[in-house]
Amino acid sequence: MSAAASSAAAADGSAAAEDELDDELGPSSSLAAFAAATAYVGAAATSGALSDAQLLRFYGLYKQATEGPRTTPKPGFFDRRGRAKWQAWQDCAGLSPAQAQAQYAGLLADAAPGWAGVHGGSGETAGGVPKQRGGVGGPVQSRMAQTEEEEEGCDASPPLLQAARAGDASAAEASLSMGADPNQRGAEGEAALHWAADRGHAAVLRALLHHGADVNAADCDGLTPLHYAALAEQREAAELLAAAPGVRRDARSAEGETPGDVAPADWAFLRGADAS
Amino acid sequence: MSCPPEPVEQDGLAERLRAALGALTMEDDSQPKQNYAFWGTQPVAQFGEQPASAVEDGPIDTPKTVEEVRKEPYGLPQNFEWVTCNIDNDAELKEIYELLSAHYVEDDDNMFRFAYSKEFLRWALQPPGFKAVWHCGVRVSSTGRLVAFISGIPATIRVNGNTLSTVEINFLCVHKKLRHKRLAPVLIKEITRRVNQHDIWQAVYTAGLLLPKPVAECQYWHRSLNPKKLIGVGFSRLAPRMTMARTLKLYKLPDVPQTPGLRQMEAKDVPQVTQLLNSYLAGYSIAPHMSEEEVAHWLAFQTDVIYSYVVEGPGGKLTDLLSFYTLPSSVIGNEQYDSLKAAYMFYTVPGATPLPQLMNDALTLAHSTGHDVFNALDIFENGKILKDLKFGIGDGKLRYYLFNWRVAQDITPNKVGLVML
Repeated sequence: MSAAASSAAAADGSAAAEDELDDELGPSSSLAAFAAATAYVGAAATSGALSDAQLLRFYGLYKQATEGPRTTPKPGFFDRRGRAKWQAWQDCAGLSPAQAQAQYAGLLADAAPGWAGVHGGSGETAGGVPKQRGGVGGPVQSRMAQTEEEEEGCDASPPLLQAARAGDASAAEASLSMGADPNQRGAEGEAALHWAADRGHAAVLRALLHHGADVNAADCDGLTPLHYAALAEQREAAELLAAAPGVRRDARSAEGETPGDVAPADWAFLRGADAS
Repeated sequence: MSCPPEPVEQDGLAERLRAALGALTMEDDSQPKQNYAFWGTQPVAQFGEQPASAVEDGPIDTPKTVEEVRKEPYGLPQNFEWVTCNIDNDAELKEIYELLSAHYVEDDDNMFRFAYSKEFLRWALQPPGFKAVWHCGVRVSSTGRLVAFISGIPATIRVNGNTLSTVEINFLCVHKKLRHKRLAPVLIKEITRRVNQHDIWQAVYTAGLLLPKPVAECQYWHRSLNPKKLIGVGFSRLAPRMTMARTLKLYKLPDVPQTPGLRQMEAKDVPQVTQLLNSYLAGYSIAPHMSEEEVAHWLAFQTDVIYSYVVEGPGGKLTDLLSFYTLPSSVIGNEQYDSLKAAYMFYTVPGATPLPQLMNDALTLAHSTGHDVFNALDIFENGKILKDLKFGIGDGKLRYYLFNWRVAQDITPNKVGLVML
C-alpha cells in the first residue's frame, strides 16, 4: 500500500497540483506507507474505532518495527496495563523490523479495509505528513500562550455583568426581573451594557435597554456602550445603541473621542453622526 | 481485553513521527529522545556525553583539510538532482519563494506559515561574501520542479573566547510530499560538504525542536500591536474578563517615537553603528562580529524587510541603535485575514537611552509601519523588560545550535547576542 497512491485516490480539485508530484515521482517508499499507517492507527485509537485487543497488537508490532526486540523486564503484577503492553511486544519476538511493518500494514488492512481512502487529500489531518513547525534554521512559529490567570480564579463580578459577558439573555432577564440594578458597575466602571456591546450580544442589549439601563453610561475612561461597540466592531450592537432613545452619539471619552472617531471607516451611520 | 486504550494511543501518536522521520521529528519535545538516527552520527554535542566540566570549548571532529573533503555531491534518491539556485535570477528566486510559501514552517495547528518575501530572501541570502553554491536546492529530474532547499551564509561568530568563521544554516525546507524520503539529512550533509570545501568547519543554526544539543534555549515573547486582528486570526485570545475596548486601550501606543534625535539609519552611519554594535555585542557569550560591509548590508533600512533607526546626540554622535525585521505569515483558512505581519527584534543597542524606552520606540515604529505583532526572544537584556512592555509569553522556544563546536557550559539566554533570520 502506498501513501502516494492513496493520496492520489483521495485527491480533490485543490490538491490536484500537489498530486502531480506523485505522478512525477512514482510510488513512495514503504516507510511512508508505515508512517501513514501508524498515523491512521493513532487517530483511530483516539476516536475509539479500534478495539483494545487490536490496539495492543498494533502496539507490539510497532515497538518491534521501530525499536527491535523488547529488552525491558516484565512489569509487576499490579501494573496490568504495563503487563499487557509488555506481552504484546513479547509476542512479536523474532520479527525483523520489515516483517513487523508488513504485519502492521496487513493487520490494518484487515481491521480497517477503507483506511487508505480516509487518509490522503492534503494529508495534514489524517495522513502521515508531518508539519514543519521549525526545521533547522530560522525562527519558529510561536503564538501567544494562554496564561494561567486567564484560566483560573473565580468570577467575583455581579451576576448581571456575568450574564451580559456570556451573552446569556435569559439569565440577564431573570436577574433584572428580580430587581437587579441595570446600571451596576464592574471594576473599570463598566456596566452590563458595556459588556453586551463589547461582545455583540444583541439580545442581552435589548433586555438591558428595556429594563432601563443607561444608554450613555460612561466607564472610568468616559467610554459609553456605543464607544465599546464601535471599538470592538460589533455592528449590530452599535446600530441598536445608535438607535436607542436618548443616546448621545457625540459623547466624548476622556481622550476626547466620539464613538464615530473610534468606529471602522466604513460605518457611515456612526461616523457621519458627529456633525449632527 | 480489559486494559484501556490510552497508553497505546499516546505511544502511537508520540512515536509515529519519530519512526517515520528519525532524524528530524517535528515535535517540540522538551525531553531528549533516546536515539537520534541522524544527529547521533554528526559532529554535534550529544545528550548525556561526559560531564560538562570535563570539556573545554573546541571542535568536535578531528581537524581536516579541504583536500580531504569528499569531491562529489551526496547521492539523492532516483529522480532527484542537486541544483545551485541563482538568487539574482528572479525566476529562480521565485521558485524558492514559492517552495517556502507552501511548505515552510507552520505552527502546531496549521494556522500560520512563514511567508518570506522575495526582497527578504535576497537580503537574507546575499550578505557580503555569500556563495552561490551554498544556496543548495533539489529538483525533480524529469520536470525540474524545485522540491527542497537549504542555505548557508558566512558569518563571523564569537563563542565565549573563540572567534569562528562559520556559516549560518537556514531555510531548510522539503516539499510536504517528500518529507518521508529523508531528504533533510542529505541536504544537511551536502551543505556541510560544500561549506567544508571552503575551509569552514563550524556552523550555527536555530530550531524550535530539541536536537542534540542546544548551546542555548530561548523563549519567544509577543507584544500585540494590532490586538483586534491578532484575536481575529487566533494568534492570541481575548481574555475572558477583559473587554475588547480595554484590550485596545491596554496595547495602544504613541503615534510617534518618544526619544529625541531618533531617526532612520542612513549609509553614512555605518562606521559609527559598526563600532557601537560590536562593542555592545562583546558583552555576550555568543554573538556575531560584523565588518562595516556587513553592517551596511544587515542594517540598511529597507521597507518591509529591515527597519533600522539610530539616536543621534549633539555633534552628530550616534548613541543608540534599534532595528527589527519584517516576517509576514500566511494565515491559513481565515475568512477575514490572509496575512499577519510580524516584526522581529533585530539588533538593538541602548547607549544614552534606557532600553525600555528604546524598545517602546521600536514598538511604536513597528506599529506605525503596519506590523501586527512584535516578537522578541529573551536574549540580550530582554528578559528584564519584556513584561513591563506588555509582551506576553509565547508558546514557542528557539534553540541555538553549533555544528562541530562544543561549549563547556550551556549559554543562558541573557548571554545570547545573536539573532538569526
